[in-house]
Amino acid sequence: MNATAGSPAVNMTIFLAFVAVTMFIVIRASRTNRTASDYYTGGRSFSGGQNGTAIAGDYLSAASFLGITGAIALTGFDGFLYSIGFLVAWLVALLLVAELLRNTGKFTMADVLAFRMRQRPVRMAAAISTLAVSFFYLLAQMAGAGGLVSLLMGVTGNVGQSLTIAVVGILMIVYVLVGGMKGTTWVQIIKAVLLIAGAALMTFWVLSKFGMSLSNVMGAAADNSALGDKLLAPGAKYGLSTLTKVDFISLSMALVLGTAGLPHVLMRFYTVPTSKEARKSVVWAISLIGLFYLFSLVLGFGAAALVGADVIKAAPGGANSAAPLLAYELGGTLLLGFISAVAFATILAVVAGLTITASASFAHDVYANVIKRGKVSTDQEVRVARIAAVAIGLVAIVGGILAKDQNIAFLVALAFAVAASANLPTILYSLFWKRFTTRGAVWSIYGGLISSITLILFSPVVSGKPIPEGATKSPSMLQGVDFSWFPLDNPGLVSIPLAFLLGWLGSITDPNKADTMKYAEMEVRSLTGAGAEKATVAH
Amino acid sequence: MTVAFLVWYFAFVLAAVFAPAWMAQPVGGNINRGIVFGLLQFVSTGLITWLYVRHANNKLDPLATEIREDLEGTR
Repeated sequence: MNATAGSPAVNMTIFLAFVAVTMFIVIRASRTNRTASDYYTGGRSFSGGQNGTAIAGDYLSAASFLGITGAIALTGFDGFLYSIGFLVAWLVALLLVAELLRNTGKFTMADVLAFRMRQRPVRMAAAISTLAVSFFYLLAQMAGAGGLVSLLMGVTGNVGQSLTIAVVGILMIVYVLVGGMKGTTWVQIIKAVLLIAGAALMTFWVLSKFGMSLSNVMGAAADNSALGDKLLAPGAKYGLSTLTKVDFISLSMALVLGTAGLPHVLMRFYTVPTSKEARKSVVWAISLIGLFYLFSLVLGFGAAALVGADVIKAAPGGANSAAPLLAYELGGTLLLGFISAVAFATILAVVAGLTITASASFAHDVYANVIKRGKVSTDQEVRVARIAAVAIGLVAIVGGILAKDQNIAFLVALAFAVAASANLPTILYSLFWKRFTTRGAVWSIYGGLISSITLILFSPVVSGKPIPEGATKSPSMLQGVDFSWFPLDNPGLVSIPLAFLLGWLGSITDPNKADTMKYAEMEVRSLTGAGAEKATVAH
Repeated sequence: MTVAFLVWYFAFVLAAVFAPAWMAQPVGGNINRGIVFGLLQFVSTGLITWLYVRHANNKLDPLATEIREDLEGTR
């Protein structure tokens, strides 16, 4: 097989059709956008089912679709382990966060965290960590777009890839500016439906080739893999040494606790009218995401059986190309075109969701509440949010171009680790611990943020991994230097407990005691919805 | 329930990491204990979701509505 599989013209046509259809819907949906609530939350008018589908669309990023299929194809069981972490994490969101957050907040994560604290320091901290997580996640998606096009669209070379990243960025800015949250949500819904339908089709195709038996697929995968039966058992990737084992535990922690701290996921809970709908949306999201990861198990082993690990590794996208190559193997040019368009749409939908979250956090938290101390009209706030969206889009384009050769999984893991360390402890404390104070919140957020980023900076991901046999480059980010002293790739094992500890320590040493009246108010509001933000648009 | 599923999930992770030989035992065809254990994670996630939603719809919602109407009615 040559460097690009299938026909770039077909891939491009299907993708342009997707852009045209979604753009039409975004423009239609945006005609009723007026207030800040419309722009940030789509008027809180989405149903649980719609929002749940959009959450699935937001969450199943290119890293999960392409990354996990590839990981299962190459490392078998250990790739499957990874996907389970992504799914189980949703229980944290369902049981602890979604409904309470919907009732308490207005537009952003900081609304909840600052509810009973002194506004400015807590909002500032929450906004900084929101922006940091969004930025790392955005970089990962943009970098992924660059890699993907080289495989799918036949665009090669530095200039071509950079240009594609710029096109993705500009499209995303247009979606966000024109459509606001409502338009973005529709893009995510359409994309989720296409992605899951495509994955379902491929899954049944693969199964039908092996007599509808998962066992047969796995058997064929093991026969076709250099790992043999080891492909089916744990240990191919994380079982090498005690260090990799501990590293995997650390990664698991970041995945499970990070999901409920991802700001773009949290913000989606504000798009529904009541906490009951928020609950329903998590149920939808869990069902769709669970289904998708079951498909990806079949697809991963199917790719190992039908395409083979050597072909996948040799393809331009490496492990990320497993799913597209499998599509080509099954349905030829047309199915590949469809799957590539879906993969590209995936990136587009996720970056749009991230951009709107980051711009909302900047406009609502930093500009309106910290700089202007709440004395600002909503019109002005939305105008700032739009400007911020353009600025964030441009930063993401430049960052994506610079980061296009970086390891995508590393950037995503970084985002999850920061979310799990800086956001989740503070969210849980402020919802459930009466004596949590402003100092506790600020220490916990900054502590989690700084410790996770510092540990990653001095981890083997950034420098000092030995060059593996047969490769010319070290898997680390920087070549030829070694300043790593933290042994794990993922900082979660240290930084998450540290953030919890700091939140507690900050609270008990705070000279200002917690406002128990405010806590009682928050508790009633979060549990019953009394005084919660209402939908602004009728169904 | 949160604690229960976290324990259950980390039991799976630890088993995969520290007892790979046990996990690799086949139970039928090419399906081994690890895959069964992993698929059970999907089942348990579904089950917990269902239990919680049933509890919330039947018990929590009526209570919450009652309190909210009390509060908002007097305003």
